[in-house]
Amino acid sequence: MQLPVWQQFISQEQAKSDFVFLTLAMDTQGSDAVRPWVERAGATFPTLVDKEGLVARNWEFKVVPNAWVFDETGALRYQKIGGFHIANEQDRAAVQAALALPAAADGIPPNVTTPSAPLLEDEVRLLHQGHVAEALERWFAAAEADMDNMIVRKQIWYLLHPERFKPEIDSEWQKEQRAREAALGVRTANPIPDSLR
Amino acid sequence: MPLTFDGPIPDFTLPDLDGKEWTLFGLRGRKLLIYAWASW
Repeated sequence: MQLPVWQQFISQEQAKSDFVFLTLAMDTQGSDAVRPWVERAGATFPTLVDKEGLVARNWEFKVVPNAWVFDETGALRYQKIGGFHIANEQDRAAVQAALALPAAADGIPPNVTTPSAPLLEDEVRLLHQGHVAEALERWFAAAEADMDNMIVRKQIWYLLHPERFKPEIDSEWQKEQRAREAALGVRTANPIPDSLR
Repeated sequence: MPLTFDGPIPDFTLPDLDGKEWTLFGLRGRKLLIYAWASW
């Protein structure tokens, strides 16, 4: 969990230079799943909760952890998708360098686009209506069509195997589960218990 | 493909843990660092 390291980094860096820092939590279960981690880190920065995967779809990423730096004009100056770690010397130096860059020269367009629909919107609605198995069936189909989409696969795991995530995250189990899914397919490797039907 | 350095950047509006809404383009004018993670 990187949030405590971020808290330390941000306290140091924001004392030296002006920038906004926020984190984006990609948790379908929403604030309740996210808040304990933020509180445990003693975080003073805002954490946005993207439970429908809006940014994952529109910025086209399928994994976390990621980091981006934008300058004053809104131009992208740094991006790392997957495997970003603020405790990693190289990642930290890259972020510091990007934050120190002057704003992009005039002529860079504001890059406005209309966002498309969120990734997990329908499934999250089904979940909240109590149609858990239906939401899972849609996720199985999405995951099997795109095995690289770890955001969808991990939502399935979180829902079906909560004991592997709370209170501690069982990384060894995740490794085994990836192997099971590769061998059997996502649907077969994640049987839905009768209690959720 | 993720974001590109010269391509369009889709906006978003999302709530924080206190329910306050944040819009990406509303933060223009200051440098911005974003970190995406998940509890899983």
